[in-house]
Amino acid sequence: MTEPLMEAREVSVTFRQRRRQSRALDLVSLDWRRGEVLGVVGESGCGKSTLARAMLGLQELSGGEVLLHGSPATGRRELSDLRKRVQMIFQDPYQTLNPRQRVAAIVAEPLVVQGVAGSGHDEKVRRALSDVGLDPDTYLDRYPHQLSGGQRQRVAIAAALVLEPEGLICDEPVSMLDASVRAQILTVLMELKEKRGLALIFITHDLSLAWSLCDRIAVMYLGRVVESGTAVDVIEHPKHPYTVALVEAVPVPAAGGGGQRNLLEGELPDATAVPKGCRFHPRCPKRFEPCDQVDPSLVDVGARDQRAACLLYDPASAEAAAPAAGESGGSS
Amino acid sequence: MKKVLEVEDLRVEYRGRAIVDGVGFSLDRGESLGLAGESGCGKTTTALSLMKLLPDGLSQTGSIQLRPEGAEEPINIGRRTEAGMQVVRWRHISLVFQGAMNSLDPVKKVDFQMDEVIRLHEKVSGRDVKERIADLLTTVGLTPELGSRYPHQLSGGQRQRVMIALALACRPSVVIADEPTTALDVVMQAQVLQLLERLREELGLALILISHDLGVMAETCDRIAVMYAGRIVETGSVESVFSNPQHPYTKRLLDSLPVIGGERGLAPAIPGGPPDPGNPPEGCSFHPRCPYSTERCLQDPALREVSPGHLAACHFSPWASWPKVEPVRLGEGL
Repeated sequence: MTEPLMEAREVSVTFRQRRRQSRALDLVSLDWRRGEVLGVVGESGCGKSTLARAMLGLQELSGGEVLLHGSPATGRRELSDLRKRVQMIFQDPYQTLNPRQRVAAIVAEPLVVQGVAGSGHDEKVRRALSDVGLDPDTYLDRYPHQLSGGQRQRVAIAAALVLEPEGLICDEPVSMLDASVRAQILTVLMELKEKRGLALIFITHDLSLAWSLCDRIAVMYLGRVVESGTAVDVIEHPKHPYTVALVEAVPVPAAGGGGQRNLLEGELPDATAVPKGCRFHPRCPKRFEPCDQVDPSLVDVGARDQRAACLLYDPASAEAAAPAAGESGGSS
Repeated sequence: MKKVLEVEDLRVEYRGRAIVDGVGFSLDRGESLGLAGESGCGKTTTALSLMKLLPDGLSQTGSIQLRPEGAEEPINIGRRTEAGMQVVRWRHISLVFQGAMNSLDPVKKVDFQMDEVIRLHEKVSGRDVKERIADLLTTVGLTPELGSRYPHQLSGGQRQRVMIALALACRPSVVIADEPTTALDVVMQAQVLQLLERLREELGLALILISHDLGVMAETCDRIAVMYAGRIVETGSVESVFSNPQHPYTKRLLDSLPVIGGERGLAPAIPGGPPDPGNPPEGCSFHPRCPYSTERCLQDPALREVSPGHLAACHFSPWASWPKVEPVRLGEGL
């Protein structure tokens, strides 16, 4: 197995809202291997962006730890090292670029911030721009307002690349872009993965995107990873009832669409009021007796490293909690 | 079937340049039409011109005829003045704006805002208005108690439902929904789309759905019109267009979308970007990005029927098969 680039070990993040506590991340563990494309999927508010911030040390942890190459990323020197090796790009290419800086300055800024010695900056900037498919001679002197949405996102990627990171976390990198431009940006990212051996995390609510490009997928619900495994296993043979519902909700661009579907009712609850037991049980079509009592942990559910946090697959924990629960409702 | 809306040769100009150029379509009662296309292709402009809500500086020509249920004479929207339009808007044709959930007034309670819309257009007693608001909220899947809340006390999905309820408040015959689900999550998106579909069946609404998401179109619409650079380049039934696209733009757009259960891996991108609105390339405006273009494409293709009810604006349609295109790599025009 490939060595992990980064690991999250039982990471928790708690936000305080007046007197209430909001558990944005609740004991999340995740491996991100070298050169791997990992998808983190879920609805907004499930904690996927907080997880990205936590992994980059941009978010104070209330528990757990984040490892880079096996050693904890705490302390100033380690964090500085982490931020050189792992970069992040965001959803909105209209808001992430400084409108008063030219492309050359935007892309060079990480070099300045990280105190990389002055010589060779220009060369690095030009290379980063070429790598994202922008001709340096044409674009170096432009301002963001002179660029299209797709070009801006490429500039953002170039700025993330200029430090030659090993990993790039992409938070909804294409969800604001038009269909034809979307495929271009994904091509840029996947070619970078091939050429530079870059590991990628796609944080997205777009399951078809995660399915088509990711090696592995982690599905999050209300601050917890509820299912993980290879992209094919998780999307084609989802085990957790939440993943099943998510996959079913994806609109299909084909004649006839996806046909009749059973949609989840209700909405993601507030992270200040995480339901007792399994956090998904109030919306779960398959809930049974102990689901409102026992908080399930991830257990193996498939041959290839597929794991789900659901009592359907963990009869031992279910029985231990409710000896008289009887039938377990069957699996999918 | 009775046509509720007929649009012919709609043209919207900005400083003498056409942003919408000769768009025409019709809509039956209870039918849903999808307007698909990328930003800048003119789909939102088309929607606004149907409501006569174009911003200053844009002028529209062309015929827009609305035939509401029970009306003897068609309403000629194209010729109506602003004062004349105020009786038509919301009453007969309404629009759910893009990012609508943020267009509620933050300092007024939901029921107050709905009350305003209804009383502006109809003379109804206070008690009837109350009842209607409760009905509307129930129709869109909300509890009537939510009416006494402020918009910030509602979630995004709930606000979007309130906006749909507002659009339905005066029982219009045509509702235009401009990207109604773009800001929502998959689960919420599916819920809102299912709601629109149900309302269409129950109320006999005709729906124009504007979206860049072809998946959303396939799930909700009967017919689809694909726009590119201000024109309709392909239109037909959803089945026909999705299973047998006849314009290279539609074909490439469909191919660039990952589909669960289809082929995994990188979908082939269309090189270049959408053209500048109002200044499209000469001839077929897609030709600079089209892998199949020839010299003939410098001439303007007409939108013509390729099979019954299925029209495409491409010199080479009908396409029996699509020659395979090598994916474009970086640095080769991508």
